[in-house]
Amino acid sequence: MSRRIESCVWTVAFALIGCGQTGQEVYPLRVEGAGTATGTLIVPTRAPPDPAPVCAPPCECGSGDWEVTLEQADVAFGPLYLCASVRAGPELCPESIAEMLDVGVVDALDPAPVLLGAGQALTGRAQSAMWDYGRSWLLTQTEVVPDPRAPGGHSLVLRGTATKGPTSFRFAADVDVDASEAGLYGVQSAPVTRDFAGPYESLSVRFDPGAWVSGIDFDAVACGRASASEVDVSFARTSIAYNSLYIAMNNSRLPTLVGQSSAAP
Amino acid sequence: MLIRFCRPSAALALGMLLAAASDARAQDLGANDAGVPDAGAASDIHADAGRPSAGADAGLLALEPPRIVESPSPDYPPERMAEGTEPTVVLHVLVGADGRVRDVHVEQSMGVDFDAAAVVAVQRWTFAPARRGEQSVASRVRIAVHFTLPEVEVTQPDESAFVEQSAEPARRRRPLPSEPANAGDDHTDHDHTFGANAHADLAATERRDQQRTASDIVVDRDQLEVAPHLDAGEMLRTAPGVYVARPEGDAVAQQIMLRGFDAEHGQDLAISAGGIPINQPSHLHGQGYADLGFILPEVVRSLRVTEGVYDPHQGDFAVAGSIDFELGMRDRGLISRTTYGSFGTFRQFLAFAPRGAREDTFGAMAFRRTNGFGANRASESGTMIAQYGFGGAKWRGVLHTTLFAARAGLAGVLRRDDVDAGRVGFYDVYPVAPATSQSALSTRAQLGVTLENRGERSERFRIGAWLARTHLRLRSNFTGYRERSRINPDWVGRGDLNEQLNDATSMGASASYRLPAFQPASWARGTIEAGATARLDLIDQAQNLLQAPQNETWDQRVDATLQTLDIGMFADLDWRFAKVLRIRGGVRADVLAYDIDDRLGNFIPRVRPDSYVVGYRRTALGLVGGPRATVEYTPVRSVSLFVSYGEGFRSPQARTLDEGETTPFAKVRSGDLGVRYRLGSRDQLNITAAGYLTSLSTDAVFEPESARLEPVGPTTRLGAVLYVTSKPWSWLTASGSATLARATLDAPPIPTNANPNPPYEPGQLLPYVPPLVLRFDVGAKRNLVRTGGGMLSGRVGVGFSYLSSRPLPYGNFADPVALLDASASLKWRWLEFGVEGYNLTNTQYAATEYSFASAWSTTEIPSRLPTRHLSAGAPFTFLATLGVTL
Repeated sequence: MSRRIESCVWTVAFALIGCGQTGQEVYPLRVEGAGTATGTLIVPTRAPPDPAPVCAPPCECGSGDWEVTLEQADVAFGPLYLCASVRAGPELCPESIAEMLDVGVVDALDPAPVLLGAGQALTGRAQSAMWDYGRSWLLTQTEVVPDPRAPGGHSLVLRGTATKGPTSFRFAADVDVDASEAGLYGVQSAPVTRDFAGPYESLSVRFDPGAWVSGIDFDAVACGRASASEVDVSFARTSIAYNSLYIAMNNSRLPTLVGQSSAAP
Repeated sequence: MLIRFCRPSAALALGMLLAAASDARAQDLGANDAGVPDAGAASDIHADAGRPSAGADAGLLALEPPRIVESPSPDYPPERMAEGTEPTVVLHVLVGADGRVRDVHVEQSMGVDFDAAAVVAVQRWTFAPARRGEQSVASRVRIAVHFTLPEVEVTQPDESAFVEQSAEPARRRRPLPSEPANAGDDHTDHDHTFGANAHADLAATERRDQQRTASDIVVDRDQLEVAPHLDAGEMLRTAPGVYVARPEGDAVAQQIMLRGFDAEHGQDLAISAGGIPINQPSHLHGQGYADLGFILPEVVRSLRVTEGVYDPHQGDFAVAGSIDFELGMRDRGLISRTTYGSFGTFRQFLAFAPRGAREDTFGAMAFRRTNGFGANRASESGTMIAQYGFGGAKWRGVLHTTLFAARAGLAGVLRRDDVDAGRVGFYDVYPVAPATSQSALSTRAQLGVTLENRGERSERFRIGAWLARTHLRLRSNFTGYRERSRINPDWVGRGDLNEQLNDATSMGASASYRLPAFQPASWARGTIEAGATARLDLIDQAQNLLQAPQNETWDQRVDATLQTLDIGMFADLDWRFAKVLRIRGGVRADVLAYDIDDRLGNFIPRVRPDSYVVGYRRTALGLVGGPRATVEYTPVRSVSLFVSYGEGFRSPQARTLDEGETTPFAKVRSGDLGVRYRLGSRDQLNITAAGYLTSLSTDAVFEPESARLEPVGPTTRLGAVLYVTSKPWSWLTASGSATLARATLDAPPIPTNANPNPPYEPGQLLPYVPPLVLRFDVGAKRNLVRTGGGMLSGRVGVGFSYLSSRPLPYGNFADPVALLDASASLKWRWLEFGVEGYNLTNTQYAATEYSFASAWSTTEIPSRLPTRHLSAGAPFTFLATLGVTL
């Protein structure tokens, strides 16, 4: 500020040239994360293929929907970059308009906001964003490196129970949403509409794990058990259920980013 | 007898010979000072030195008169040239036993101006003192200083051109003493005195007359010598509103700012040296790239800084203005200067400038090496410049050649947040191979010739040609580790060491003819000049990403061959009306043609399968022209008012052109309003004030990510300049300037895919342009004491530059820069010792600052926000120089 005043003093003193700016100032950005209280989710049974296979244990052959109760959904989030371009990505977004470089962890089942991290924002409009879920693959690294704050080194640690009729089992998923190659991001581009005007900026990231889970075919999970007595199921990285969670976090069920400019912190 | 000195060296020899052989007379004061004789009592002075006078003691030894050792020619007062007279001022000079001029008084006056010029000149003369036997004695001599008009006409029409004063040396020529005298001549009837011719410095007169506007500045050698300068580029700081930095090392061109323009490496300034244009069109590192590193400061006779574009002679890149380095050496002889100093700096300068030859005849060479003031800043360079001026009254010419090479390490830029956090030192370089491998090699070879024919009625024909070969290989890294190979996207994270190669063969020619002066009425007279310039550039360019330190190429960005041709034509009028009004100006038009072989054009990285052969060849041609005019009103002799308007252009980067595109020039429209005030016959005080308004249709700023200039849209500059020079006494030179500038963006920045809606506010400042530039130079040069048979003279000088806070992108402001330099030297006979101090306050400052995104850590999450980066300026630097002049 003092340098701007100095510049103005010289110009005003000669009464010839006014003061001014080069445009786009920098403002502090506060990023919070919050979850969604899902309660008991109803996940519909998928329509069977035609012709339907013969249903036998360990599959659950009853009609009705699955009742899913999530017990744990810890998600890591960050770093986050917001871009002026319509689509994000390293080549279309060489310079971001706002960013948060920290990695935070959010209980996605708790709607109370928590601080994810602090960053900066420039004056202007963001139209897209890209981010990682706590696991980044830098240009200068040969593999993905999880942030120490990521739960267990994973993007998402999900635990819950699925019940349908007499069938009930606990499920666990440790999901890693990783970039496909170095220098890219777990979420390469997500649409965003956000105008940054300062002087204080905030951004809220809301996660909905119920939406992630709603895409899982629990019938297939039940059928995939070794036996009907298996009550602890872990989603393998090659499983359809794991892939469903991955796609939901990476593409189809992205967290929402909303925020506002304010005159006070 | 009166001795006419056609050339100082010949005159000196002749004078010495005549003094020895003739009966040139001097009065031996001995122990009894007979006092200064009356002017009329000439015979009392003419004590016969060759023969014992009647009544003299036959035992007295013959008096050997004093001999001239050095006799710098007096300056013909420019203000009196219009009178066309050639007077002779007779001085009575007391020469001490040590050969020093003790006293001078005017015996025969020819007016205050001529008297003063003669006295000033003779006071600088040195003699071998008069001798009687083995003893040196004081003596009085009469010296006749004869002022002659130049042997050629003053080139610009002025009053003298229309008064029958054309210099015809033959009419005024007196027989040389060496010529056989008529029989019966009695030498006692001759004026037994030394004489000297005062020749007007034609070039200096021309330079002054070429100044068209209040913002047209000529910085002469006296002003250039006031403050120390590390190189010729720094000399530009003496001109008002100019700031020069060298953030990319000693082998890369300077960054120059002038009058609200960040001209980068020369994109907005047409620069020439020795009559050869230096700017390189379509240079890969920056349009109009102009490296001044090859110019040796010692051979710069004067600088002409023309701010604005009001002269039809100004061509491409004259957007903010133009700069011309006039080369010549005032000091003559065989000159050696050896410099040692801070940071292991060593420089050896050697020059030969034959005495009696013109100032533009010389040969000079220099070798310099330094370890640099910080990490990765070592450099070495070698330069040879030679010129030969030939010809006489009707035909004059200059031959010029230059050879130059420099190699330097680059420290690149540092993130300011890294410096503030202590992660890297202010003068350090990032300790990673892609940063420590930065370097540059630059070479230049050029040859030029100009010929000029002058007629008796001020008509003039000029022709010139030049040939240059330049080469730059620059390896720089502004961004750290952000790049991905386009050829093979799997290659990432190898460091952004960006290699740029620009190899150019350039040639040019010029011709112009000025008609004889025409006077249709007693109150109107003028002339017109028409001319043409042409240049052809053959350029090979390449840009690659290298993996350091083995310098493997892991991506190719540019591979192109360019051919550019610029043919310019101009007409320039120069008319005076009623002695108070002068109108100069005309029109200029340029045709530019381009042939581009872009071998990596149409390359689409990875998103499409190969379905074509990469490469894109194209041609383009365009025509640009505009008027330029200045009206000068001189109500009284010492005051001139100027109003100017001009339209200029800057050619585009060839590779940005599409097939058949009508060349999109960056057009500039500029207006100036100024006043110049001159006080004193020797310019004891000059005050210049001017206001300006300049609009540019398409501006460009440096983008560190690509290490090239990128367009930003139309801009406007509004500003004012105050410039004062003063020489109240012959030994004191002072100058100062203040330049205000406001540079604004007139339209939203050009949208890109990365930034489709760039924010914009009307009146938004253009980044990097300093609102205020101050400069002060004060120097004194004086004879101190006579000792050991020679005069001990001393010189001190101080230079101060101030750059106010510059606006940076994203609301930032750079720190102001204040630099104080000083020098002092002692000279005794052929020996000189000097010291120079730069940045005396050891200010830690940024030579330049940028704002962009970079990533220098290989393990931390990188920021993509643009942030401040700096290139460190040099800390306190001390140099000592030992010089010998034979």
